[in-house]
Amino acid sequence: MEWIIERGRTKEQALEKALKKLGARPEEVKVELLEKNKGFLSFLGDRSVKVKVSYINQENDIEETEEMSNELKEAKQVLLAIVEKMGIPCTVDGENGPEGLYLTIRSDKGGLIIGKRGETLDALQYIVTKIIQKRAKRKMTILVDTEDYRKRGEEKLTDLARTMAARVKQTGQSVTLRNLTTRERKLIHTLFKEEPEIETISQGDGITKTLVITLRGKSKNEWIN
Amino acid sequence: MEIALKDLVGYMAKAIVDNPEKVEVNGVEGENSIVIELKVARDDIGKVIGKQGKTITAIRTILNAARAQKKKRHILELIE
Repeated sequence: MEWIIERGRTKEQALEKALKKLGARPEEVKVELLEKNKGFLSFLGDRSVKVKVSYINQENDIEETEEMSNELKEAKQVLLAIVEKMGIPCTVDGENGPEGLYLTIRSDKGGLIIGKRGETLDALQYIVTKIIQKRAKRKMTILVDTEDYRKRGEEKLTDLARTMAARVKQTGQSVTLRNLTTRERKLIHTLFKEEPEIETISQGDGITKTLVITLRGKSKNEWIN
Repeated sequence: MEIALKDLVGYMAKAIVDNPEKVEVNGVEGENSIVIELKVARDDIGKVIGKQGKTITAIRTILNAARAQKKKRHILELIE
């Protein structure tokens, strides 16, 4: 298959779906925007984007693909070793996704692997990323999931963000969200990127970074402090 | 039990540092608790701690989950 047409809520989402179906990486494809429906209430309505994704050329860089699968193999091994040493029997599946490596843990102790508000899962992801980055000597994204925890979390976060945005529109007052991870902030930024009325801003530094949802164009002084 | 936790800490620490041969893990077992001592090369201390303590926090979190299935409390100490 050389190309595919896919729908999604955002361009990124549609692209992600298409890449998954093609089994391609983002740098291998060309993306064309076909149509865009902005629902009349953008935070409720049917809002979808249609994209055409096609391979730039059919020659795959075999060497690079091999390197990727080596990293995937190593990442799977490292994660498996850690979880087993935690005393949890499990298996680890892995695949190359548009954002990086996706690892999924299967075990009958999902709750233990996820931890309080996902903190154990985050810790595992952080450590595995750190180890693989060190071995590969380059930055990369590794996502660790079990029992679709992250997927469910993203849906919840999207709902929360939309609710907050609706409140911001109604009251004109900004809302601050704390304790989000880099990924979670990125998800919200992307969600409102093309929203005419809503603006999202990351504020602060390091672990105390917060995300502010505010009306677009509202003077900066009003939300600092 | 104690050996497994030591092994877990050792595995993660060795994979993170530049001098894995200098990683040492000792477990001191008391009545109700285990103290796990992690010793790394001086140059590697920063690596094990990480930016804003992120790495050592992650190691402790993973250790906590592993320990949750067991009865004893444990403490992870990083020493030079």
